[in-house]
Amino acid sequence: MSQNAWIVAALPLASFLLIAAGARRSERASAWLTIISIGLGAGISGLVLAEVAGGARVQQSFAWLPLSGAFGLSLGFQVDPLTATMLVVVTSVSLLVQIYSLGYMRGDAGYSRYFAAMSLFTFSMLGLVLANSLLTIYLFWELVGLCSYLLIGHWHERPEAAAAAKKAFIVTRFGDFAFLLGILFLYWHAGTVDFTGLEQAAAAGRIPAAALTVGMLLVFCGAVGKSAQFPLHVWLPDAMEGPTPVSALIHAATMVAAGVYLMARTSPLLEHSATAMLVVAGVGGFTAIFAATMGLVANDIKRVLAYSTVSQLGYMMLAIGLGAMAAGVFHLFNHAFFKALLFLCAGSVIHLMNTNDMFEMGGLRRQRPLAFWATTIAALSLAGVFPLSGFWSKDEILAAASAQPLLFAAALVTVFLTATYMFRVIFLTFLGSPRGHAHEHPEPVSMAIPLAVLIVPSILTGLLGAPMVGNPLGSFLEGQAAHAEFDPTVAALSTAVALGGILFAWALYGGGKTEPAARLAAQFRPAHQLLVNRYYMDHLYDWLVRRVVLGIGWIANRIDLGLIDWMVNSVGAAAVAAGGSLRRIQSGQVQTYAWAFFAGAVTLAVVAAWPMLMGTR
Amino acid sequence: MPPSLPPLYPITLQHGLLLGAALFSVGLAGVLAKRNAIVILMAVEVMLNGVNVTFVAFAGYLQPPVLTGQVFAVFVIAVAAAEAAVGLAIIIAIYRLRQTVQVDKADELRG
Amino acid sequence: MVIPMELLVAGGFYTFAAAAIAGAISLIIARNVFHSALFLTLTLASAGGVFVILGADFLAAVQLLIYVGAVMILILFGLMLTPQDVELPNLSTPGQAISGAIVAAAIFVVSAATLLSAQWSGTAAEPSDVATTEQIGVSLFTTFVLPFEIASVLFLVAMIGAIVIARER
Repeated sequence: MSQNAWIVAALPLASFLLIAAGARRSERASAWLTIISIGLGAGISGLVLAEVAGGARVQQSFAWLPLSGAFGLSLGFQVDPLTATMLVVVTSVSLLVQIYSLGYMRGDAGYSRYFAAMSLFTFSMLGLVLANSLLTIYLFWELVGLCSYLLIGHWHERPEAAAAAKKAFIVTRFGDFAFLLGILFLYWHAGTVDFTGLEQAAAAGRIPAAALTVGMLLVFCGAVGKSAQFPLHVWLPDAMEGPTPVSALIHAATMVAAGVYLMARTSPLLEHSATAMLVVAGVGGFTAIFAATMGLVANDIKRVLAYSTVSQLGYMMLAIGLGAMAAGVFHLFNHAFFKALLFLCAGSVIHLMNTNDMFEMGGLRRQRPLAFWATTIAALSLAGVFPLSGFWSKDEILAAASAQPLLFAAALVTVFLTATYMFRVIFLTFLGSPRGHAHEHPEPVSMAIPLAVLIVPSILTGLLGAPMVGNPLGSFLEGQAAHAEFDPTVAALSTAVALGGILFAWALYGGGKTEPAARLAAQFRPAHQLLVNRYYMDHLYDWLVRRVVLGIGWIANRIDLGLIDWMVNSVGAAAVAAGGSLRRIQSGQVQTYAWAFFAGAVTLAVVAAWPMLMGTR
Repeated sequence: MPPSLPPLYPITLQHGLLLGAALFSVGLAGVLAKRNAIVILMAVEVMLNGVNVTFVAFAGYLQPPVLTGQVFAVFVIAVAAAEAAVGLAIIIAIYRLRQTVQVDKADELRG
Repeated sequence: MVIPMELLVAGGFYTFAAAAIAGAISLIIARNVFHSALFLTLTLASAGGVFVILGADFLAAVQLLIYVGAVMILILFGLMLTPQDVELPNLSTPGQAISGAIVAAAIFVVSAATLLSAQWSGTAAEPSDVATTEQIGVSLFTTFVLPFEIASVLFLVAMIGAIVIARER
């Protein structure tokens, strides 16, 4: 089955094409086509994973653009442990989110369009995961960006959604552009864009060290854009304008993880450049703490989760930058499940309350007990409380970072902040007394099932990387027996910090109170304002665009109008003037024409007869 | 070989050719310099006669004699007659339209 | 005293040639269109004389019949039907007249120089003196039968065309 792993990606593509071709007329057909195709894909992914665990490896490509000599471009796919793991993550989360969407999107005008875009997205994401070269990955990378745009802007009649979609697309374009440059740069130096070829070239030292560093940093820029790392993180919180299932699938579990996946995929290259690794780890660590602080003050439940996602992605980058690729992917794996669960729970309460503002919720524990318990479990997992899944992966990352005091401190502070903002969400949303009024209606079964199902991996997937059982996932990903890094001191420290964070949140928001938090905010007003305004990053970008970019544009416009247009117009004017003077020749007098004809004839005759007249012939 | 005048007599091919060239050139001067369309038509006839003289001179002096030149002259005369008929018809049509046969008055195609 | 044949031929040639050229020049200079037509008759008739001397007796007859007889009458009809300009005809603007004369003179000089410097081989010293009418008739209906037929079609076309163009609407 792993020989034909491409079928996993082809199924959602087929469903997308079918919906586009005509199934869109029937909402039920669109939805079920998507769900069935992804469900089949999930089944096949499971088989592929089993085969790969048994040692199967696939590497297939065909020449797409053969050039002379060894150069050339090819398209292809590969199946290895990383791919197989990602296939399972993507298809299973996607399947659950689609089932959830059945109920969540009911009655939406763009129901079929939503499922078509979701199919296309799943196809793109699976293609990205299966890609065996930087070029192939780039193709799907852009396709994924397009789907993200379509889905964020699903409610495009709302100006905020349209603006958020544009913002996401444009901001990630910055990273994508650097990514493309990086691909070209690496191709230039290594003569190939295949991962295996690049790895061999790097291992054999055929790529100069400086070139490898530059190339990998450019590739990392792409990952920074897609995974919303500092300083290109600004699009992800705004992307929450999209439907909540979209946020769960794309902007939490899968697409934003594409950047992490890309860095994990290229980590064999990264390992050859200490500088690039340091930059990756630094950006990751900084983003982790930076985003977590903004999550502390956001009032929109989805935005809190978005900042949490940015922060956790920073964690993964940190791990990869530290050389602990398996730990990063392990965290990605766990994060995909519990973050999807958190978003689906958020969607559940938003569906109930028709608002995103947590200060208008409160006391929803009674109306949505399933969501409450699921959120609590996922939040504990995210905060890294023993023995939930997040504990194991976060601990592995902390252990990897323990050698670097600064990064370790940042990671540890992030653990504290994570626990605080997550329990702030729980206290504000589910506990205390109702502050808003619910539009009471029963939760559709299709929305409840995914919540219940996702609780299981949120608790258990951590065991795949648990040291007691020998870290099977790590060994699987690394291709060798991974050293089970388990430092009881670190584990105890992080758990204590996480519990401290939860207690801090209780002190501020416990029992539905909001006054202590408001007092604290008033006390540290400048800092609070800084956080509420998201470190003024959006203002900075706005200023940059308005002043600098538009200023350059204004100058360019002047040059274009004053110089370029003047030159072009002058050419035209010269032609007009030449024509104006030449038209005098066209007198309409036939005799003048005849005269010119004979004058020309006699001139030619003289030229022709000249040798004979001179006696030379 | 630089040009040299033929003897005054006997009459040779070159005398005939010179006469043809002279008639052609004088006719051309008329075509280029006159205003009246009918006179221009006459000057064209003079040019055609210059050509005919050339044809006839060649036919007369070719050795062994070949009469193709004269046959050509017959055709030239025929075409000239047809041309005169059509040309005069056009001139009359123009005259009807604008009460003049001055060619410099007909300048609709001025650029 | 017996005047040599050569001299007679030369005298005839020069007379007719001078008359033809003088007629052509007068045609151009004349102010009156009618005078121009008369000078044209002189030129055409003289050209017919030259044809006789150059041994083309049949063509000389054709020349007189068609040109002097038919074309001249046609031109006179044209003059008659365009009465406005009979008294007006004149040379064009001096610039155009002079430049036209210069080009015409240049053509004459070039062609004269060319034909005087060329080596004419395969030519006789004197014009042939044979009866040409029968030979022309034979070649018109044998070798040149196709051009002959085309010429007759051309006449038909010219006749219809002239009628259509000159017809009053």
